[in-house]
Order: sequence, then structure tokens, then C-alpha cells
Amino acid sequence: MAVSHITRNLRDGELVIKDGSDTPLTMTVLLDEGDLTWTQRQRTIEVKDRGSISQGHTRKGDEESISISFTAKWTQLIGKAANEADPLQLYELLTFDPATGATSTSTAGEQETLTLEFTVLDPAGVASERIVFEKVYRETLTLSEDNDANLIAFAGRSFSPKPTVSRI
Amino acid sequence: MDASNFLRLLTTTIQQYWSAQFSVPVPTHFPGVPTPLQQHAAWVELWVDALHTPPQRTHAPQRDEVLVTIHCFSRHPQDKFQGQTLAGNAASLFHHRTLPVVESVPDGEPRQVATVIFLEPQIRDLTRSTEPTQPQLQHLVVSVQGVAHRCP
Repeated sequence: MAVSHITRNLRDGELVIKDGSDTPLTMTVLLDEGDLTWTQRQRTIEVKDRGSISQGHTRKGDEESISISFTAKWTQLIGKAANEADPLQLYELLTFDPATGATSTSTAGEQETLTLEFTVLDPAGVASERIVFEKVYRETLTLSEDNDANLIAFAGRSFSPKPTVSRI
Repeated sequence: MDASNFLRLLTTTIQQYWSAQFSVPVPTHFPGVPTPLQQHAAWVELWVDALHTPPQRTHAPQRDEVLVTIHCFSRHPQDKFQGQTLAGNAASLFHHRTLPVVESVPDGEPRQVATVIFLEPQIRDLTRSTEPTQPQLQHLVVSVQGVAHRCP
């Protein structure tokens, strides 16, 4: 039985961001805070019968995209934008800095999007999982100072009703 | 590198830095090192009290929180502020200081394994005038937290 009853936590996770190139630019977010959060919404239309729920019915509403957010500690904001030999940095990938050569995962003319892959390793080693968010676009990018470390907070949406979850 | 090895290197780094920079002419007692103090009117004790790894991703570069404590003692018969002088000097040595943590490599160049950054020190006066055995003893404590960033 490849099912584990051991709970998982932020220590077991790994967040990877990929662009839409044929050979994708791949960045493992090494200094994320372990606070990745996503919400899958389901819209429902409630049709009441002259105000009565017991006599009414429901219908499926429109599909909703996934809201997703995470926070990472801020080291330098730019790497490749300053020197091509430097490693890619989170900020310049999330903002599609031209110097990075990052390509959107959506077709030309659409909003620029990325793929986020969140891997949660099973501490027991039997049922690790990968959660893939397609077509993730940025809504806000909040950069802030802090006593412990400055932070980059990403909030956006994945243009799909649910992520793809698979066992690895 | 496991915690015990890292703690050894970190302690060595801090002790070497202290020995090179602390210029007040009083002896320093390091833990585990016998230091005759009976003849001295003042002395300091330097401790690396705590090494703590906060919750973090398993694959993230490790960050450790460090606590250094310096106890400053004085029973100087004339200088009633020598304890404060020692504490102030000790605090200024660590205030916003960045130190490389280096490991010796046999037959090779020393290798930097981490960078430790110290934050703002705190000074407390623990002098107790009711101390029966040494009523003139001043005891001030400098506590300084730091963050050690391990090299990838």
C-alpha cells in the first residue's frame, strides 16, 4: 500500500518555477518561507423557489481560476539582468525581465504566465506528490523590508480550475 | 556539515575575532579553558550559548540563529564604571558585525563555510550589592543574536 499516514509540513516541500521555453528555464525557489497557499473555488448558482431553499435547486456556476501566493526571502533582485553569467533570480523571472530570456507559457498576445511545480516529499518515502499549476500570472508582487530578512510576496492566479496532482 | 562541527567552527571564529579585537586589558575566560582570575580586578567570559535552526525547507541553504553572551565582571576598587566600560566595548565589537566562518583544509586553502551576521546587542546589569561574598562585584551581561548563513 503506497499510502503514508505521516503528516507533511513545509520542510518536505519544494517550489520550482518554469517558463514556457522548449527547454524551460527552471528555478528552484530556495529561500521561500514555506507558506505556499492556493485556493480552488467552486461557483454555484442557487435557484430558490419563491424564496424557498427546500423547494429550490442549484446549478453549476462558471469555472474559477485558482488563487495562489507564496513568500520568499529577498537576496539580490537581479542576476542575469546585471550580468549574463550570473544565476537567474526570482524577481527577474517573476517580472519577465527581458535579460532573462524567459518565455511565457501562454501563447503570444495572452498575459505572461509561468508554471509552478510544488513537490511534497513523503517523509516515509512512499507517496510523494507533485502539484502543478499551469498558466500562473502575477496579480501583485509585494517587496518589503523585515527584521529577519526582506521579503518578496507573490500573489497571482493559475488559469485553470484545479492543479494537476500526481504521485511521483 | 553537522551541527557539532559547525558549532566548533563558529565558536572558533568568534573566539579568534574576540581575541584579536577586544582591546581592553583584562583577561578573557573561554568555556573549558582554565583561566586564573583570582588576582584580577576585572575579567570577561565569552560564551556561544545557543545555535538554533528555525523551521525551513529541507533543501534550502541552512540558516542558523546564534546567541553569544559576554559576562563582564569588575571588582575594581576605584573605577566603579569598569563593568559598563567592558560591556560597552564588547557590545560595539559585535554590533552589526559580519564574520566569515572558515574551515581549515589540510594542505589546502581555508574554505569559507558560512557567514555570520550579528544584530543589535543587549546589555543588562546583573550587579547585586547584597552579594555577601563579593559586595563590590559588578556583573554586566551582553547578549547578541546573530544569523549564520551556510554557504551552498
